Amino acid sequence: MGHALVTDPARCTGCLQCELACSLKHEGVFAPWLARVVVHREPETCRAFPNVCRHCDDPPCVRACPVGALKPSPATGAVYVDVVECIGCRECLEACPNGSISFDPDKGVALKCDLCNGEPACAKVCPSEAITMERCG
Amino acid sequence: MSSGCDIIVLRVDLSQRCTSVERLPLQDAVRFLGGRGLASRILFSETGRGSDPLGDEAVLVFAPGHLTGTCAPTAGRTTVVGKSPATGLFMKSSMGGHWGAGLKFAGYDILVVRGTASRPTYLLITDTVVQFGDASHYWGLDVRETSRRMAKELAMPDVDVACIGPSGENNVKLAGIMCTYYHAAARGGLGAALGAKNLKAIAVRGHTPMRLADPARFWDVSEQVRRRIVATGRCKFYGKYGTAGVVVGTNEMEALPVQNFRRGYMENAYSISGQCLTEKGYLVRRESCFACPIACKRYSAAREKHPGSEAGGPEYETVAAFGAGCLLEDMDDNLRANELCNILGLDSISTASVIQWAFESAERGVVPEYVDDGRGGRIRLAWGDADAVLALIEMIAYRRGFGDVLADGVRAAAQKVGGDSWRWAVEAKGLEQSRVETRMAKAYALAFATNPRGPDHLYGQPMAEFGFSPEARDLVRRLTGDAKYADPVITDHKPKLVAWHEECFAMTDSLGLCSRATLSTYAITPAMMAEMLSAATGLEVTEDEMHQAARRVINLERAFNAREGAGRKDDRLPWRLMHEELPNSRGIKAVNSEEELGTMLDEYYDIRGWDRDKGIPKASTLVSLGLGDVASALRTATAAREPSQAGKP
Repeated sequence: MGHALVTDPARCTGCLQCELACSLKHEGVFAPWLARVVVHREPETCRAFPNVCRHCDDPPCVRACPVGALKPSPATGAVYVDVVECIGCRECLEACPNGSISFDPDKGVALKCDLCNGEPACAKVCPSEAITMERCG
Repeated sequence: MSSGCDIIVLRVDLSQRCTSVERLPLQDAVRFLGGRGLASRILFSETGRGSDPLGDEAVLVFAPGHLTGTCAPTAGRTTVVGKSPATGLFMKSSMGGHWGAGLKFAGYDILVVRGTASRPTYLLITDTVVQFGDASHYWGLDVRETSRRMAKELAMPDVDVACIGPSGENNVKLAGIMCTYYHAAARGGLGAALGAKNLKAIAVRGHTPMRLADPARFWDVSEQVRRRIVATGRCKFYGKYGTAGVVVGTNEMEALPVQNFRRGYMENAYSISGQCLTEKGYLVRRESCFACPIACKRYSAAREKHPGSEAGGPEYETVAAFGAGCLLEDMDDNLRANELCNILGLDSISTASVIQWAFESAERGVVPEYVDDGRGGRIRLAWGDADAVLALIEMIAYRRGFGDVLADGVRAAAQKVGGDSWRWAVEAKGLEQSRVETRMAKAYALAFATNPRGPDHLYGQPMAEFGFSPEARDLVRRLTGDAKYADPVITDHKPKLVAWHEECFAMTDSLGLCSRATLSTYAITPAMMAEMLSAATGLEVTEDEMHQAARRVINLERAFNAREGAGRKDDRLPWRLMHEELPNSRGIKAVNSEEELGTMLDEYYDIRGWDRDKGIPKASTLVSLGLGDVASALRTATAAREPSQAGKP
């Protein structure tokens, strides 16, 4: 049925191409901190850990949202944030067991992976297959 | 700040403890290509002839590329430009890592540092503050400890730190500037220049987005570039084995500089190679610089000796310098030497070079076999002695004992020691040569001789002359009319190749790209760079205009040296490479000569529009490039100069 992004930290080299592609696609600018995919880097040991939304079957973020701003997209079923309805309460950030939801302090809205309508830019640009798109179900 | 608006220059005066911001028109990014080009323009305009590279008046310019901060593949690099404490001439030294993107996201395109702080200082640059911090408690710490403690004490886990190690603090002329822990702007002693300013570190962090004129077009060309890199065999090779992967092939060509350039071949080159790193379990993980899909950077750990020794690297230059140069055949020893250079902030090329010179000097009886270690002990100067090499690295960084003799570079060391030792001091312009054999590679010989910073591969790098790849052979055919000129031992058409590669390198640095992608693999072409710059700025620039802008930058940098009195007489190669033949099994007479170099220099100067006798830009050339003010400055300097002062640090 759906798609999911799968990460492999052992392959990630910390180039941040995924964050750059994501922020350009969703925000029209290069701003890694506004990306829906987050790479946590530890430069002293050159470690990097990519983190993306797991697109849970029964998403806690959807349940936590008091205004119903997190909705499944008709195209892919992936849950996205309706920024018109989002009130910036951050309940979804708290509810996500994976820490995969970020926040844009300037716009006051949650930032969450929407799978780019089925063609995630992060997986497309990842040079080391640390983020891949897999079909599931 | 962004690639699509004005260029924002942050100026910091350490003496006055004040900052200012200047906006340059975006057109300057096309005229001078961005980062390095603008930095060289600032350096030329804002320093005078004969300025002291370690004095108050010294200017250091930190210039991320114009595309740094974007997704342009490999565009994470920063060039540091200044007057070299090692050579007394122009220096640009470039580093990867993530620092440049950090400066961009803090809202600045270029950082200009001048003056001297009254006590150890660090700078914190974010999009809300530029702060002068007290670095007294960081002074004396190594690069890793400094970076770690600053992140902790500033409570900014994702801050990126550029800093110097103890070598820079001690004005060692082999000291570089390090960033993101293990990435070095190593060459030319710019770490000593930072140390003389009492500036220990520059921490950057910010959240200012990069906006481009045409994001959709930029995305399209970046995708095209990314796909080309992924499909280029040489890029895959560097991803798999790192830069040290070329040790084996270089050795097979008998062009691996062994034992201070006496030989070109060693028996067990595999033991110091990138293949060995990857296949024998030394490689812990690969790392990328910002936005780089190649990931040639290594993070490695020693396995048997030196327990706990781990660090970023080693690169080709480091294992070639210590492994082949000093004859350390055990990978563990190379990894420890690499780690020490990293954390002490030393240029591994120059450090290993002075150590090789010391070993050879002891062998030939010009210096004693045993020398003072500065701690009441003695060390033995002997080829292949790992304990001596590792001790000497620290002695150099702290100027201890005999290390003080070596700490000003190999030219100065030979002057101090005397005798014939200058003959095996493998330097020109006062800079130690990188680990590249030029006696069987004539474009390299010319590029090393004309390089304004000294004899190394990071100004021209005419790899195409070897014809290693389809991309390289295509380029030679396009420049010379026939792929048969992709032959390293001939001199025909080599000046053309060198001129093209220097121009490509100026574009590469100025846009913030990596020469791994543009030159040693030819994955990114100047046409692609023109397309990326056009999409980013909204100003249409053609490939030809990119070359013209690159010539502007190269002329400026040449003019900086000409103003100091340098010219044709300084466009030379180390004595050994001009006078001693490289033994080889192919029976090639492998040596450079005055005659051969002279012929290539004449042709090269003609291509550049420079005076053949003096080797400096003609006024008409400068004027035609729109550098009339540079021509005037040069005229004034030439009239005032005392000829004997040329090029002295």
